[in-house]
Amino acid sequence: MSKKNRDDIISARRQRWTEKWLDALMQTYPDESACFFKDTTDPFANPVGAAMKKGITDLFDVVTSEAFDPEAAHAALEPMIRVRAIQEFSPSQAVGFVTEIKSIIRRDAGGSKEAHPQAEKLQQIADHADRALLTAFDIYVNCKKQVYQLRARQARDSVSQLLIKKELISELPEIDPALSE
Amino acid sequence: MADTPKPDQLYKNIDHTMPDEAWEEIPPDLSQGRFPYPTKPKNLEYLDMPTPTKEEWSPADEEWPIPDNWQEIIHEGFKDRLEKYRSLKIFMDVCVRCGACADKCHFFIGTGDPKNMPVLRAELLRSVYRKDFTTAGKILGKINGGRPLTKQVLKEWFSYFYQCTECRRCSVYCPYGIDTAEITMMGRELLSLLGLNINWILEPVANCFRTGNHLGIQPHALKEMIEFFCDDIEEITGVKIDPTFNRKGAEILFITPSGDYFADPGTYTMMGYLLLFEHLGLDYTLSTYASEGGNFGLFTSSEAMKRLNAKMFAEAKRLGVKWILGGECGHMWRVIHQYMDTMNGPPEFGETPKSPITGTVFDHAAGTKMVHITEFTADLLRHNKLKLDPSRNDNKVVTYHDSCNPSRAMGLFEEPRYILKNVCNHFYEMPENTIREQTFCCGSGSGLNTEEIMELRLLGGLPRANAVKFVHEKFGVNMLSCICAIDRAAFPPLMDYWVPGVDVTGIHELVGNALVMEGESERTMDLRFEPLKEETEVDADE
Repeated sequence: MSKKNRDDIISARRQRWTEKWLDALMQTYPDESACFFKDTTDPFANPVGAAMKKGITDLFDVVTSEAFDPEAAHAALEPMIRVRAIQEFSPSQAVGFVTEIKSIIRRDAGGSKEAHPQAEKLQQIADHADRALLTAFDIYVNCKKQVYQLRARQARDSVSQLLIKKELISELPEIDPALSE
Repeated sequence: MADTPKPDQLYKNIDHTMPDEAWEEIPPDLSQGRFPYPTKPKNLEYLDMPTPTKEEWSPADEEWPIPDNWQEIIHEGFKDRLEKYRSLKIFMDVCVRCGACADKCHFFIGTGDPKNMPVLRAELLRSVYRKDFTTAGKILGKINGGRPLTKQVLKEWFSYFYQCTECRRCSVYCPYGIDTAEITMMGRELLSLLGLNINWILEPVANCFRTGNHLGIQPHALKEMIEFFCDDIEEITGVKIDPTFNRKGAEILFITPSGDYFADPGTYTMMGYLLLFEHLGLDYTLSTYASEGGNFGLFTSSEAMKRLNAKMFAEAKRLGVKWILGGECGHMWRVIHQYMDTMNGPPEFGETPKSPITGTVFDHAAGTKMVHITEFTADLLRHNKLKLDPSRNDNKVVTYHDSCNPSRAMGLFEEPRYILKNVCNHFYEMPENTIREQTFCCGSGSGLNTEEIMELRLLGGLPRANAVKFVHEKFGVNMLSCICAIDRAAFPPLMDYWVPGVDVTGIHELVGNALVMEGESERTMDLRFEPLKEETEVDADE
């Protein structure tokens, strides 16, 4: 099958697959919240849902591309993982949705005769999804690290300015460059 | 609200299976990082509040240190409050569960936890009310939505009443005007009866009660800190300011949140106030006793709020001032505007506030004799009394966050904007449904600005940050202005996480930058010691 035909099928099913992928992602939330995240379209009233919808659409492009683009994967995943990293999920739950696309396509392709000759392409999507999962893991850890830094900074800043102002501690003065020459 | 679904969507979504568990059965997550630390017993003791244990304990513990008759204590406390507050009784009875509030809470929007829907948060209290105080609930129990007060319910209260910032956004949308913040306030009061408070609230309350401000800054230290700012101001502007403290006979007493003394970037706002007063030659004084505008009693109980608030009037009377000018603080103004007069009024000092510069009489403040500084400054601008060079703020592309309490509790929308438009040249609004009375909370108000729940705060602040991100990307906004000390403390980490490249300021820091002072040296730096001329993307585009 030519590349054009393969792409035609992917673009023909693009909407169905991204919707199912988004559904799989939303299943990680309680029903009432998933409805809100999916159905409220105003991005300012529903920033989480907006990030997820755009993220999944962009991520679909990443995993169905001929070559895996790490930067595009990062750009697609970052807004989603940044939210999920601080929501009430375990690390695996937070990033697990990324590989759901494999089973969605497998199930769908399995039931369709015309999809069978796509084995090679399907494998490529699966490989890309695995790589995207690793990217998601990197983003997740970075977000967590950042949260811990913010925590530490707040604890530190809450006292240090006072100590300096009260001259209970003395910072090293700026060294005049002229003197060090 | 969500868009109305199409009929086929509705059919598709009909699911006849029951959920695995009813909401009442799902226990709250009280693992580490999901709750603020409980208060140290010494704070409770100092405030004469119930102190069930002197041992350290954690909400993650299976057994909590509460008295054996805890159910009776809560029941009696609930009964007292239902009799005392007609509003609480109405709020308990009147909700028709229409869901208008459900998707308006920043914590629900961020966390996706259904118990953060305001209607369900209220239901935590309401279900116990039905069971204990309504005839139908007593007879029908669960069928009528009632449930007995168990230890799990108590833990749920602790978890979710400390996941509400009392911002009152949900109340804006309630067709019955149910003030869900007051429900949280009642929930926290009831928890207080068992000594279940959080340290980030109770320590400031105890400090404030003893020393006069949240951090326990003593008079001599406070004086030194203000003098430190004056040294900085002199270095930046060449103008020497010498404010007075506890001066009897001053015309105006100035009270601001202590965050403006000790926490950057609030300190720059403090410098802005000092410059403004010097510019005007205002006859004012600062107090080392009433040295706190904020009132964390609001987040504890009405008694605690009243005790802390009383010092403002007491100090104004002692000093013999005519009226009180209040700084940029959030919940301070909810207390002043909505509770002060009935709690501690009428004030036994002074007169209806009148601007000594413009002659404007602030009649709306006749009851409390307290005027918000943005009202005062906006009036000065309206009468053309300030000499300004707004171009000194040209490296700042500014947006404005309506701090929850001044906007929703006192309707302060225009004054801060009027000032901003006068003191800086690049000002852009965030989207309509995120500002003014629909403003989104910083996610850290009502005493939740504590580092152990950073994730929760970042999620609660997401809707606000998301709107900032929009103007940051669209207009190059690099400065988020606000009129609340908690905002100024909470926004820097929020911006770091969601919108790097956006800094945080108070309105009067920008005023201070723009003010042309008599006898000043040429300004090369702003109040942060940062150079005035820094080309922004906007400049480059122009």
